[in-house]
Amino acid sequence: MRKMEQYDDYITARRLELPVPGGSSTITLRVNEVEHQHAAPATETLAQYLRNRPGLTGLKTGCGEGECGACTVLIDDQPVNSCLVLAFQVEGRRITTIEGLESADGTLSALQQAFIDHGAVQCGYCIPGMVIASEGLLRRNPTPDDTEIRRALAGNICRCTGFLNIIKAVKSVASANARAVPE
Amino acid sequence: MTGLVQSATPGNLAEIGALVDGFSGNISYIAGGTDLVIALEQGPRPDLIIDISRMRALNFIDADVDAVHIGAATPLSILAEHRALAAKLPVLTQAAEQVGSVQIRNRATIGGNIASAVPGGDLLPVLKCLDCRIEVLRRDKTTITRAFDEVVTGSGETSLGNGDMITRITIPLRFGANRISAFGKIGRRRELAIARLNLALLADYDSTANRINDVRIVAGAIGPVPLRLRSVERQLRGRAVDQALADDFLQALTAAVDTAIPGRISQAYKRHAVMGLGLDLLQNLFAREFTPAGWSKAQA
Amino acid sequence: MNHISTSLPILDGYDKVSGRLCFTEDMKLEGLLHAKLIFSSVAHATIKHIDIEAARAVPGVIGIFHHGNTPGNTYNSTIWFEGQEAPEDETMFPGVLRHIGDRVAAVIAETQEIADKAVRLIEVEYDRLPAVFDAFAARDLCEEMASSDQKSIFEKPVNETTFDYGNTRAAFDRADLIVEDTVTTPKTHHCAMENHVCVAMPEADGRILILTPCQSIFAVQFVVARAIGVPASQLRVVKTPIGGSFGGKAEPVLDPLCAWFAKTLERPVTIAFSRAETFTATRTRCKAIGYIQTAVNRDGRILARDTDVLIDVGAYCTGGIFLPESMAQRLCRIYNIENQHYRGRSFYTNTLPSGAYRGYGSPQIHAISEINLDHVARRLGMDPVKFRLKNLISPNDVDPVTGLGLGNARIRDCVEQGSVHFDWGNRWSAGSTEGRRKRGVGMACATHINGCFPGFHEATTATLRVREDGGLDLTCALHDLGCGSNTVLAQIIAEVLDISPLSIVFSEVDTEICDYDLGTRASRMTYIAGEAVRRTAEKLKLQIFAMASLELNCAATDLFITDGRVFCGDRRDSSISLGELAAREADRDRSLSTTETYRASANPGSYAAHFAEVEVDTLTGAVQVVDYLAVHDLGRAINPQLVEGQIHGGVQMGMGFALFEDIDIDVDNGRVKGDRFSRYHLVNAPEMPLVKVLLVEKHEPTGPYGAKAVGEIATIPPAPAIVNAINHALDTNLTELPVTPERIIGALSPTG
Repeated sequence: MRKMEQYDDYITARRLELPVPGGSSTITLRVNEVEHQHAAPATETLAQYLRNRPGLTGLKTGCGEGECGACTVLIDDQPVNSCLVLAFQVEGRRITTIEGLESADGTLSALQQAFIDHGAVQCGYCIPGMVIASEGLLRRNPTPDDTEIRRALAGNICRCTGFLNIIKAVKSVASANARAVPE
Repeated sequence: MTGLVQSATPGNLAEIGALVDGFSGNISYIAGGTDLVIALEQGPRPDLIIDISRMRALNFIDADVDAVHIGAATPLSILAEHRALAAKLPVLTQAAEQVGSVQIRNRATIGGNIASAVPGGDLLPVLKCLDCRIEVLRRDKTTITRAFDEVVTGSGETSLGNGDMITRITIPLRFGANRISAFGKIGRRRELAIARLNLALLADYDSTANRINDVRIVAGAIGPVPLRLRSVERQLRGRAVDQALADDFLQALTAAVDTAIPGRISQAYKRHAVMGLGLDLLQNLFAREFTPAGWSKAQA
Repeated sequence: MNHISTSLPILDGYDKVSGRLCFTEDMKLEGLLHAKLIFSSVAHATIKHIDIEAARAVPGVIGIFHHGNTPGNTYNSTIWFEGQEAPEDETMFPGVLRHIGDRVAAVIAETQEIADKAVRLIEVEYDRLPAVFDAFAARDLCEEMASSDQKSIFEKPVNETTFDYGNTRAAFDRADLIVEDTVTTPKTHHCAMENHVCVAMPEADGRILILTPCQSIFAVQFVVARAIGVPASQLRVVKTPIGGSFGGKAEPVLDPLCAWFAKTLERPVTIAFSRAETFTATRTRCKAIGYIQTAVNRDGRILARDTDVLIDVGAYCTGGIFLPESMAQRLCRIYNIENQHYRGRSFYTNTLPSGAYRGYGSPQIHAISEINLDHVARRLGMDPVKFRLKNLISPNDVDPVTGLGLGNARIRDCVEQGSVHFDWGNRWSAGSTEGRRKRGVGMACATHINGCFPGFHEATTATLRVREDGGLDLTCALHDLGCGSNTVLAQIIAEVLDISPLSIVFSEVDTEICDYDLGTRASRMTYIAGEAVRRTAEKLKLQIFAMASLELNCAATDLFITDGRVFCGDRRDSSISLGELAAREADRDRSLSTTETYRASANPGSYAAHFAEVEVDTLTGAVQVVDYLAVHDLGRAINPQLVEGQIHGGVQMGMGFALFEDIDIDVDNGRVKGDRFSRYHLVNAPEMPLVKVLLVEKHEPTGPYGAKAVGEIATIPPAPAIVNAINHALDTNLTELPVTPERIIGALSPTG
């Protein structure tokens, strides 16, 4: 189970600047409260930009047509498929990726921890998108019910877990939220 | 192949006018991008992409006494959750909330749904059913207003010229207090599925007299463009809502599918499935149970 | 000891939920070149002409490879040990293209964008050849070819297996009832969320390093060696984290090409498939058409069965090679049937090649047999549970084909407990409801294997070393495919040595440092690798005790380990930590480590019974699975939460097999219709029913702590259980999967 750091034998430069066709303009994005400036072509998707320029490789691209949700990020707290958004479209907006959920010391958010505790994680490829889609739901609706969770995750495919433990994980956070804010 | 794609993010319509003015290349407007970005990956690329997703002037839902006006770049999630709109035109909010996934609805827009003109597009039969007017800002800065059929002309085809942009959709609020409407869809899954068949219905229904005075019904995904089912409308017009009407309605729907897609492989399925969709619509509209009587008899 | 039967969270959970885990596509490598392949757009053709000039002229294009400039070595990408014999019909870039999606050429460029652009400039002219798209046509063609002089890939079945025991014909003659069915299962795709991907690069010493999400590094090594014509020693293979496989990444599809490009260009190269490419240019589950006849007497005893399966193996005989035998094996390890005849034949077609896919033949053959058995029960007017119970095997019965014992086979417990839990009797006899939406219940039984025994190389070698900090290093080619197998293995080791499972460090899965291993396949991780690491840990424990008895001056028989320390009897003051022991050994230039090879000597069956309730809309044909119970005989659940996760995922996949998933080859031209998620629907969260899991833990004596496999079998019974429920609801006999709304309406419709 390698982490990126462990590939150092083979990796000499982790964040290579990709060659950019001449004439590309600079695209400035605010991601997880950090500003990133890179030259990129107009047709570059948000997913490509985030993965290749600042190297935020947590999000994955599983289908390129908005059907699998592995590339889900939040734009102003709303989940979107970053494979279907062009990077230049979201300049100046607040973008949140999986890397932005944990605290500065690496402590996981309650939602991330719930995914681990409820057995919601297997191969892990869909998980960043799944966590972010769930995060988007919980920001809109801190106490979703089962049906609302399922609907909110309809655009996120997992091939390992059958979704049930993922739903359970999200529900556990919803229950905690309900207890925290008694109506 | 080597052509470079330029991008622009105008703040208002005047800036768009200035951008388009004198630009000789191909122009694509991008709002949600849920169809366009896929097309960019596969097909020929435009010379200029103009982002309209953040233009306030294109993102609104307004209503006056006799019409609802919707900005072309209004996302479907906003439509789906708009309570006042749901009260006036449930057919539209119901369709919007059945498009794609949360992620798609957060980006996809009503104008984009029209411009893409995908045969299964869920808003298309609704907009045709509601007899909407589509306002287009032309490249020469003139504004024209067209009927749905004048804009959506085929599968993936519209009459929009290079540089033309849909700016708003105006939906007349017909039938006053008698107005009822509903949308139904059959996909391969309950959520996130392209429509195999969808139906939009708008009616003038006198609930006191239990009578349908007038009705418009449009089906999607049984042809390149949404199809108005006039023969089905005739079955309902002027009638009381009861089981007999339900029976005739379902039968007429089946006949309409037979007429629309004769000999197609999907005909055998859709001519039956449309009855389920029809029943769902009736139940949705009248909150009453109807039985598929004719169907049971046919089975027995 | 308390590490077994506990739900330890998956070991790499933190890296996965935080986005840190570095999958192959996440690596950033200096000077990495990107490949883009061009695929055949016709189903069967020779390449008449290929024009690469325009592509070559694109700045940033480094190389273009095709049939004319690459080794034409034939190979079979399903071998897993050196020298293994298998029909070799694959080449990196074939001169004769056998299916839409076959590899024509590749452009290697400085960036993916340049490669994508250049590949569109390549023009290919084809000379079309006649093509065959289904197994029936292939069979007919074979029969034609048998009497002609023509040579073609279609001249004979790829593989044919029969078995025959008892006297099937005589038993049929005396049967009260013979029920026959033709059951068809579709070509389906694994749909691992990570697409196929590979990286290869030259190392300083001239070898090629392959970084690949795979199921067996050694299989990759041997296949690539054959394909590119270098000794295996010139290749080093390292497994990268894998974003799901399910058999899809069992065969090195991209690795030979990637290694060849890297070797030739002397630069690192990656091939990263898109979703459409993964759908059309890798492997699928084979399509199977089973003609099955079951003979019974009036009281529900199965007298004989005759099964004839046609397998559409696709364009290449790769991972689909053993399917006829495997299906046979799965067919006779679950019911006591005294007379059986089976014939399995696989045929080439000009469609996607078949390979391994979770269950390897089991989902298909169980769909064929379990749907038929329900039909038999219906014809007998008998409760399908009671009917099955009259015929199921019992613990320690013998597999009639191999003569091997089935171990502590607890399928009867599964069925009995499951039917009580599901309230089967009442729900089944209630029958379907009236009205538009009809409900029905269905169930199905299944078995699957535990490892490859008695096949070759069913062994695992593990090395355990105590580190000076008291933790353990485990060196073993353990390919965790994301299911959490490493977590389970850590629990087993922790149980033996009573240390924290978190203190175990797993080695890289690297041909350089690991002993040979078959890799992850055939449900062998918990049962085989688990027993291997258990024995290694036990052996290490003896070594620890031998040492500690000297250090503590205590008889080895009085020693015990608690929480990483060795204690002498009840003398709490006399103890030494494992780390200290290791340090003292290091002072003596020795290491506290041991290597053990475990060779399997049994292959017990894992068993399951699944129960489903469905609601079918008789107007739209929509099916909703409204209730689900999965009962599994797995000996013992080392990690109940991971077991549950395997079962949930298995149901998701099996439900898709029953209702949605189909690669759907266009019979007119061989085009793959289901080549993306918008056209190939998977079960998503709103479709998924609640799945109750009931575990039968009756201890398998040959398994580690009594455990057997669960990963593959979980996906075997769902499809027949759901189809049987639909047939119960509608009083139909639907036998063609997936049971789509069209097929349901077709069966219900009076006019058809």
